[in-house]
Amino acid sequence: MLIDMYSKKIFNLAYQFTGSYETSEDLTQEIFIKVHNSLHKYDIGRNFNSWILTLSRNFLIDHYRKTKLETKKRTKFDDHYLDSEGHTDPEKKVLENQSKKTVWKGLKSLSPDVRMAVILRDIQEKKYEEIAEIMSSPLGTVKSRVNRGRIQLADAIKDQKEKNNEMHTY
Amino acid sequence: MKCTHIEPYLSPYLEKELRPEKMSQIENHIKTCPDCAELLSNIKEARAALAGIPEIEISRSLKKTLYKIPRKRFKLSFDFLFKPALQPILAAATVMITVITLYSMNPEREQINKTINQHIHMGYSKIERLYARAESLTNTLAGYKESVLFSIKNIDFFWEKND
Repeated sequence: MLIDMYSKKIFNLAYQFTGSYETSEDLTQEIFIKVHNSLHKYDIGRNFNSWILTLSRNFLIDHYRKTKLETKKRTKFDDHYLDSEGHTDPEKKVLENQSKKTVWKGLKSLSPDVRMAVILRDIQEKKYEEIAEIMSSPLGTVKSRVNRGRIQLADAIKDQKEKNNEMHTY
Repeated sequence: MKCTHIEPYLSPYLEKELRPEKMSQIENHIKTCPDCAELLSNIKEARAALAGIPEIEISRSLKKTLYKIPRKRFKLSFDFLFKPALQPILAAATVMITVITLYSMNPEREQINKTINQHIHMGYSKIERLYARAESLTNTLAGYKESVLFSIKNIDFFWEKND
């Protein structure tokens, strides 16, 4: 039951954070072993969803610090994300996919805490209060991390646009 | 308002979390500043792109592996040995083990035993002598006690004339 309810969530969080499909599969297994071994520590008064995501977030950031995942390449966006629903206009769809590829790649350049805050807010669409609980950080810190992450990704989009313009010029 | 002062407010502005006067302040700046307008537009694009990243299904093989994880995996861990609080105890234990090893491996162990016995006996006889001296001192004090009590009893506090 626990696996049915949370395996997809944890795997996706790991994949969005690490950008590597194989590593995320390994990490999901390790997180579940940790969840099984820590169930007795769960405080019944706490939201279970937040508890399991806090545990996953701590595990992913610890793993990142130990292995320095930033040195590894993120999987190409196309490899596992097929074209999702969006614009029907092919030209706009190309541009939309181009932005997705850029932000997916750009996530790598964000520091682990900023990256996690952006993933939880903008990909998983969680409330700031829930993110603050998951990340065990003050609300203001979370909001500022999200803002910082968005600005960095916006800069990546700007750079990509400039590159595209240069290519069109030649 | 400088562009660097605008940056921290861009996300709250997009999410309409600012007070009305701050909202209009940011809005006015963006209307007149092409750089900030471009940044805001790119942030919007980044948010839309992130929101468009779908949740993917996990593979069957992963799910299968997850079901095989036992409820509780007991593993022998020696991590507790590295706790700083245990360091003095571990140091003392190391010294003890070294002394015991040196003693048990020593070819002149008999001689060491003999010396230890000798020292123990010497110490014991010292204690006996000390005890005997303490006892004699107690007896002497007991003797004095009688005479001290007698003297106190016969002190003439009010210089009464006995004759």
